[in-house]
Amino acid sequence: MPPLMTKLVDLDFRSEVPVFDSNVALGRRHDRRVPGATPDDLLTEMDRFDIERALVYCQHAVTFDAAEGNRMLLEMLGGHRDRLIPQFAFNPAYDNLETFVKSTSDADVRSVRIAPVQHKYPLRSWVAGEFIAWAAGLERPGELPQEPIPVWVSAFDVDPSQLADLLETVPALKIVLCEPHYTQIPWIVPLLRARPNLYVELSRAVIGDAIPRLIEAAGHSRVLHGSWWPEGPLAAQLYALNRCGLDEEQLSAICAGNLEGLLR
Amino acid sequence: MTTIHPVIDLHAHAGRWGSVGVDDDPDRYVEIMDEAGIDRTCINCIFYGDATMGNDTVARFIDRYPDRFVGVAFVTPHYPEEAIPELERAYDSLGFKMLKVYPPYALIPLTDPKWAPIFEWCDARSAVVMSHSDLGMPGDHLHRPRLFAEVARMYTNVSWVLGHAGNLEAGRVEAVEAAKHAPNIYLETATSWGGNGAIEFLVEGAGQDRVLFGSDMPLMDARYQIGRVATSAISDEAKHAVLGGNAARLLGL
Repeated sequence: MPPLMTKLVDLDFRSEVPVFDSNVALGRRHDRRVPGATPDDLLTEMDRFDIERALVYCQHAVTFDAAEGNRMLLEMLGGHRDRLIPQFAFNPAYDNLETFVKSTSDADVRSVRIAPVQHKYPLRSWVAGEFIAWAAGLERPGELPQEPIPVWVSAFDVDPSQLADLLETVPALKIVLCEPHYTQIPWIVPLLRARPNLYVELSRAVIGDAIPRLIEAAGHSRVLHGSWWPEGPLAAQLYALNRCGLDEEQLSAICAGNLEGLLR
Repeated sequence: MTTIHPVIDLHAHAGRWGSVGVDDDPDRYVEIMDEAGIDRTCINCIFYGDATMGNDTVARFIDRYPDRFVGVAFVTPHYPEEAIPELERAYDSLGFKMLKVYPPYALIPLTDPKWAPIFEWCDARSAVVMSHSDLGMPGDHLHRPRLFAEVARMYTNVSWVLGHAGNLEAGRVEAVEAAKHAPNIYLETATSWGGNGAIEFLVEGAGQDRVLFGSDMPLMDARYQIGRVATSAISDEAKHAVLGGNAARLLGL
């Protein structure tokens, strides 16, 4: 399959493969007006670029309260769940795990976001051990059925050493590291090489040749397209992905297939 | 496919920066420019205390690809006795087209009198001068956008370019205000801070003729930065101006 890239700037850009964005937040922020906050805002922008689906969490769940934010998310999504797939947040230092697990089952939620820095706890077993065991599919709180569930965390929201220790000690746990900034690439690349249970989302991977470097470190099956909308533009990194000389199989996996696999 | 020519990147760096894993291979640089659709890149080197070393690094890029790179000079106010001779060498011997100054490395505010001999030289030459700008991050007292309004009024023949156009949202608001107060201020687009809606805000606030595309290569990838402009909700005419038309006019390319 020949590369998909061209050598001219394309002002009519549309993705040539299906896209399932792995990193989108909904809801207003407390500290400023965001460019978009509602499902309608998001869907309008998705339609500009033929983006099919997005994995969405509630900003409030990370900023203030996970349980309340998760409830707000389901209310916001209403009838849009065919294209907007909910992701819940969890705070193992405060929230009840059994209640949370039941809520994920009731809402058919297939991924969880944690925010250790913003929720002010170290990502260690003495704080998050029960949650980690559940997410890795090792233990079942109560009588609920359990399959492993992937965990999202921002590179700005986790201590690298704590993350590395966790990935090593719980190899069944799958973690998606989001928003990797150029200041973090020096530790992210070797961690991707060292730990096959670490995935990386691309929204802030904008250092020169970031996409090829991360694919080289992780293999294309552990790389996920994401936009970081509404903080980031919805299609800029998607545009860049289409200019990296990837073949259709690689591009399809990164743009949607890898995320679909994690959420099965 | 609707496309654009010329595309000119006003903001890029030569020089290795291993602490963040940045290489400076000109061959790979040009490959990325080709993939991104960039015709010419204005390149500077601000990493050395010895400005001559930096400008010679830039000259090597131009020697290898004279049709693809445009030289951008660098000087430091810490060595005022060297600054003007080095500017004359960069412009008159090496053929460089603009100047990059970097207050966050010099740790001297843009409005400090230590810059005066350099800016007076630039004013006499009607030069284009770019500086880093931001607001809301450590050290922003050195280069916040409102300082550009001050120097733009002092040196009216200089075309001042705010690298990153203030960078964060608060900085963008101040950058647009600075542009409204001084007709010789221009705003450059590169950022690693998301900036959803930033291109639209800058064009709406400062006007499409005052906004210039920059990538900050290789600290940021030109393909992503092009994507921010190409997928923004501004007119095709505005995209033409931002991506190359304005830079071509400003630098006489």
